[in-house]
Amino acid sequence: MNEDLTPKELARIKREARAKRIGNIRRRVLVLGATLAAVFSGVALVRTEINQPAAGSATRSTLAQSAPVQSGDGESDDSKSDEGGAIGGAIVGVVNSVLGDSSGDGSSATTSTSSPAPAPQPAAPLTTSQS
Amino acid sequence: MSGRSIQRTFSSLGGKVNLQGGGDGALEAVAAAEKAIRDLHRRLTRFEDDSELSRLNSDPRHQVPSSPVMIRFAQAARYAGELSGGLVDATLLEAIKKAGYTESIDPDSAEPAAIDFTGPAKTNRSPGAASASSRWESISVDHITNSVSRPPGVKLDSGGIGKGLAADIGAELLDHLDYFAVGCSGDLRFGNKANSQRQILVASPWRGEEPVGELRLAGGAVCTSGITRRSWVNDEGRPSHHLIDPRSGEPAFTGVTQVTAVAPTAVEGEARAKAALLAGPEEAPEWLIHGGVIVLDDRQVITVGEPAAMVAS
Repeated sequence: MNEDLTPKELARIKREARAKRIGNIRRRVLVLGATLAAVFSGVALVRTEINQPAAGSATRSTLAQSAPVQSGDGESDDSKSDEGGAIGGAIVGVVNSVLGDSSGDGSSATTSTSSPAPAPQPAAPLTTSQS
Repeated sequence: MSGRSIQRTFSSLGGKVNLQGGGDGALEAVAAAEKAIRDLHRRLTRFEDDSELSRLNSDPRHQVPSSPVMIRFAQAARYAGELSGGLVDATLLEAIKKAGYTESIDPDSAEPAAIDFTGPAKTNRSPGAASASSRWESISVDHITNSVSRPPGVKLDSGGIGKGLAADIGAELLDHLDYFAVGCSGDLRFGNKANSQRQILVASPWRGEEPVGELRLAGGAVCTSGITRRSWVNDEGRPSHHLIDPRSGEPAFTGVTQVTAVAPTAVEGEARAKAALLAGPEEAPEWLIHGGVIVLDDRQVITVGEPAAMVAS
């Protein structure tokens, strides 16, 4: 197969193939790095919101809904509402998606639905009077 | 599940009931609370001869099978008596009728009698006290037979305790929402998941005047009891009202016009507000262990506790 190629041509083809592989690796590393940075920024944001009582319920609700996306069976499990499990599942899901892991069901954590923010209580004061 | 922010106002409990709820399921929850409060009113009003309370009051049996709402009211009446050492006595129906409170009064829709407590004393003022007979101690409930017991002839008045119970039952049906508020003719229950504070205005006991106080609370109950809004001039031309001194059996003129009490529940708030008013100016603050506002006959306003720091729940 290589009998028609000169040593120089063979070396050039090998260099190009190696450069292509390196390019692919670099591109994947960049994409993975950017994705991980985005995910961890999101995780940090979520954890900050969890520590703020005003946003606590909405955050938990969002996390609870994102977890089943990773389960692949479409069933909700009470344990999925656990903050750590949900966050971990979301990270794994994003990483799998970026790396093209075929074991998933094609869904990614980024498709999870967010519940609406808690309804704010009216600003108007309440009035107590003689009952 | 539907509804994000719902507000509903209707007439019940001798006044206006206001319900607020926000979050998923608010529409259904507010509707359930309204149904429960209307049912409570229908069962506990003393102004309808066929109400469950009227039938209980005229029943010759010692032990009477009762609805869950009536059982809760009987428990609340007993609790109020125990908490207040008998100052809050739900068995004074005949004394209230004798004082002239024979028909329902809606203070939001009718002008109260022009009673002036601010001038020279028009009545003898003295602290109230528990009755020696303490008939409220005879009230008991049996959860096995679902019945209320009291000696035949002892008649219960739902009054403020009934309104407080209505607010508490409403709160039980709404407190899973993002926020809620229940106002039962002046008695409030409220709260929110974010635990953010809400401004509470204390209405003046005198119609048309500015609020006498302001509280900021994240949740719990705020209840007000007073002698100016459900009041009238009796046949002798003297001011009369619905808060009876258990010892004398007469309307109480203690020097306190109105008391607002902060508490975890509206039943407790009602009991504390009424006990403080009946106890008189000297002892009134001692009843407000969660905080509150006292208005004296001379219009002096006393705030008990730090309004911004009161925690009711």
